[in-house]
Amino acid sequence: MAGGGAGAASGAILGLALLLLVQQFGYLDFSSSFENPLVLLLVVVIAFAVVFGLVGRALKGRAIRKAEAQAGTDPAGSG
Amino acid sequence: MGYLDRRGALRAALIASSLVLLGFVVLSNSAAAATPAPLQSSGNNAVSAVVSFNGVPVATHDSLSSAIVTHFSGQFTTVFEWASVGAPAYVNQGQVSILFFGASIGTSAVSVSQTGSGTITLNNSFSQNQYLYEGVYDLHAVLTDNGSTVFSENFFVWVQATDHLTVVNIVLLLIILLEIYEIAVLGSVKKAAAQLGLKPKSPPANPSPSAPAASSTEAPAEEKP
Repeated sequence: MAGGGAGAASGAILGLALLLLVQQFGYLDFSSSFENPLVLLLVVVIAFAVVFGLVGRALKGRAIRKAEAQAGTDPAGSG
Repeated sequence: MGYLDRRGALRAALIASSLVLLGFVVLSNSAAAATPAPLQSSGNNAVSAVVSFNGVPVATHDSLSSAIVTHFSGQFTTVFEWASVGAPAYVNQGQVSILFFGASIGTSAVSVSQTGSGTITLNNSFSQNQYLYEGVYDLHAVLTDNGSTVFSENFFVWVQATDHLTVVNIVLLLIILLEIYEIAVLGSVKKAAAQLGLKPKSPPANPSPSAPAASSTEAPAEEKP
């Protein structure tokens, strides 16, 4: 759970920024597969949010486990 | 909670600006949907026209993938060469609107008084957007007869900045780098430990030799009574 929200927020902004940058460079053809630019925009932003949400959660979980191991605490909280 | 530190404020600003951009696209899209459909003729005023952009006929450049490539430097010229089809038509205005992401960002028009056929030339420039943003622009060329459209054509122009150096591109690149950094930092063990209030296990400050010394000093005191 931890890190998922931050990763998703970063991913959404990253997706939006990348899409706009590609559009700025003139390589984005909205008419090829999507009639509506908004559809493409939403698909990309949501996809980036989901992917980076999962990545963020994995990274944060790993970091927490390592921090707990370094501190000598029991990750399960039993000790 | 006091969590909204400097970085949090920056992230909030980024998310807010992204939402504003998203809203801009939504509004632009609805504005594009409100654009009237191309009208080639109305009543007796049937008009056919050939529109050229910097000397290039625009008829085949009606999609983003076939956009006419141009640069920010200098002006661009749009020429309408029109003729009546059937009864002589009257045209009193030629107009070119520049649309970006579906929203009109500029319109220029020239008033004329032509009957039967004629040529209308318009000069525009993208210079006002030169350092702001680049990309594919949709141009909407229209001939009107006292306000009613007698001819319209849409075409696309890919306007490029020198080395892609525009404010929007630089800001977008900075945002991308910042977000990649933010995602990478999620895996920081130091940060996770700080957030959890954990301290790394460290060996005792004084090594064990001092302990026996203390016990040896206390031992005689116990023996006194």
